[in-house]
Amino acid sequence: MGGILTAMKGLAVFWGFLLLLALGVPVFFAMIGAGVFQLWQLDRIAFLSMQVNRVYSGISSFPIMAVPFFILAGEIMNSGMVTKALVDFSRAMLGHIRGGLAHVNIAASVLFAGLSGSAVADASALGSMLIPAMERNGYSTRFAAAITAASSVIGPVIPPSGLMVLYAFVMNVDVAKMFLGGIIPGLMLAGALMLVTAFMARKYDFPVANERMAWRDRGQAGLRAFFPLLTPVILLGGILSGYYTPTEAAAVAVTYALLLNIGVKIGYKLGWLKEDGFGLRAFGGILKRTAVQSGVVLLLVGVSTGFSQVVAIAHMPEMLTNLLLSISDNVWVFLLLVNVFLFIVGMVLDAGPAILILGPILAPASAAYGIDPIHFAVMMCLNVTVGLATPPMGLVLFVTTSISGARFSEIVRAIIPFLIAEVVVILMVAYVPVFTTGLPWVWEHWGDIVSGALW
Amino acid sequence: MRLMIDLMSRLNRLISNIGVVIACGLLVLMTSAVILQVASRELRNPIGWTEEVALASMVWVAFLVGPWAYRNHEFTRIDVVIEAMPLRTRSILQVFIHLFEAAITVGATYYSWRFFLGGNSILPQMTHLMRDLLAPFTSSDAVKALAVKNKYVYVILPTGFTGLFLVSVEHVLRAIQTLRTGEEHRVGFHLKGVEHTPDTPEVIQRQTDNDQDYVER
Repeated sequence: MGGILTAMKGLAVFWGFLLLLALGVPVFFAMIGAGVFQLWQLDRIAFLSMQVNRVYSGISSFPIMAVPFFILAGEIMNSGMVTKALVDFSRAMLGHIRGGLAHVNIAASVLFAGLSGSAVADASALGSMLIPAMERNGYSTRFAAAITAASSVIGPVIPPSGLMVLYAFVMNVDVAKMFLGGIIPGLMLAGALMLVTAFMARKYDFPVANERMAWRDRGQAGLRAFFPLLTPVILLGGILSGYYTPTEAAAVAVTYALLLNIGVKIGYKLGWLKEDGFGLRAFGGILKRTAVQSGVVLLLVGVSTGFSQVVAIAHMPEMLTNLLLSISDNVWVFLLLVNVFLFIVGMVLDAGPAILILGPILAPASAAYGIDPIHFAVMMCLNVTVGLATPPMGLVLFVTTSISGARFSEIVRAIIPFLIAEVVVILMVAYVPVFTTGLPWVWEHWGDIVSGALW
Repeated sequence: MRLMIDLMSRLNRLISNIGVVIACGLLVLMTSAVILQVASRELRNPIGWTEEVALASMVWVAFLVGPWAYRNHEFTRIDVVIEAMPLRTRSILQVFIHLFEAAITVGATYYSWRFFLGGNSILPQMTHLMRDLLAPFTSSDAVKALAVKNKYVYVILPTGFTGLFLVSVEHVLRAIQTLRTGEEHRVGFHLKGVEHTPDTPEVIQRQTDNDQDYVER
């Protein structure tokens, strides 16, 4: 009995946090409240003054500045005519096949993922354009909303990714390697969704979107999408070549997005383009949305930095590692347990807070099982990102519900086949590390590969 | 009660809107500083103060928008359990939850105030910058005495937590009002990334209607 009480006392931060969350207390306050409770339980209340320092140092960090910049770049791209250019290009390439617009939706998400790195931005930008178009093309509203929600989760998996920046910051992992590690899983998600769509297109006789386009028209559509699609090249190229840091790369992406908009406005004024870019008034709205979204994330980063220290004081990572090792020392069992746990967490918690809270707890356990840090990091990001499209608290489901006007429950039913495909991808990524570690390895050994030293 | 809610609402709306406007300006400053950092490095003439300015701006952005985000229910929370409760039970619980949040903000304000008071160390690069900027206008002694201290950055922490406290008071009052009248009050509820709305009654009504669309009842 005494042992249980001691364990309960030691884990006050854990069950206190869960209790507060279940009662509907915002994560920000729940982390502070549970942390204070734990320190009080351990008679270390004097640590409280240090916690403010931790909150401050958590926010005042140069690497984490990439998050607001990526949000801003995504918002700027979202507000300009970039989304339309990407959709037009995808349509030119894929619109002629059966279930064309559904495939276009997925392909556009992949392209958009290279610009924004946010599932919500993807769902709202592509959803407002493609859901009505799919309805007009004969798809049911719920299917259009479901495929938009399912494909939007590709956003934070393919670089750039605000979520990966968060993970890299809290766990001190190389963000450039994480970005590289996310490319193949992101493409696998797209491939899995396209397979399901192709199967459904045959079964339910989905319509085509348009006639097969001539290569000249495809080329023109590609030209319009060319400059936006340079963004990931500039970003990744700059980071990987060591030309600038991820944070500086994100700021460069913001500048590039603004320059693109200025270019579009000039093109419109000169009569070269049919659509205009956004003006100063819209830019004010972009700044406001970015400031609010960034502020919320940054405050969470700050309190989670303090929270992770309390978690460490309570020896939670060690307890969890010992608990898992006592269940099984098999890495496959560990990966299954972690993925099931993360999937359940993803159902009720946003991806960012899930990473900030669980990263410092789960990553040490994964190290004890000898899992590659990049592999675990990308797998975790992938899992909680898919959680954005799972009920009852799927953020992108809410967005597509709001855009489409379909009932939440209808979209949930329609998204199930896609979620199954995404779960399969999560498991493949979990059990075949080369999907996440392959590209970072190639990048690291590029010189040896080219020179033949490896062979 | 209505008068108090109205008063707090006006006060919080004013404070949080001012906070967001300043935050937008700082966001531009932050971006410009980092771009300048990259550009100056490429021009082989790196500027030292850009990182300090950008970091200070980011801390300020976070705490300036905090009250707005909290007031407009932008803070992530799990409301599945609480939304499933009957209105009266929910209202009682909400009163306690908001009181709890208020208590946390009071404690955080106290500790962050102490943190602010201890911020006497100097930000070297920003001090250099300010000295260079003010040199043409002030005496050399005054310029030498000038020092940009960390507390100028830290001051936003107690300010932000005070703002959060004021919003929590408004939330408490609204929860008590709901308990008394049985009518639920929400401030500017909206979906992230979809639209951002001022908290007018019409909008609240529209959003509440939307609510019913995506929650199966």
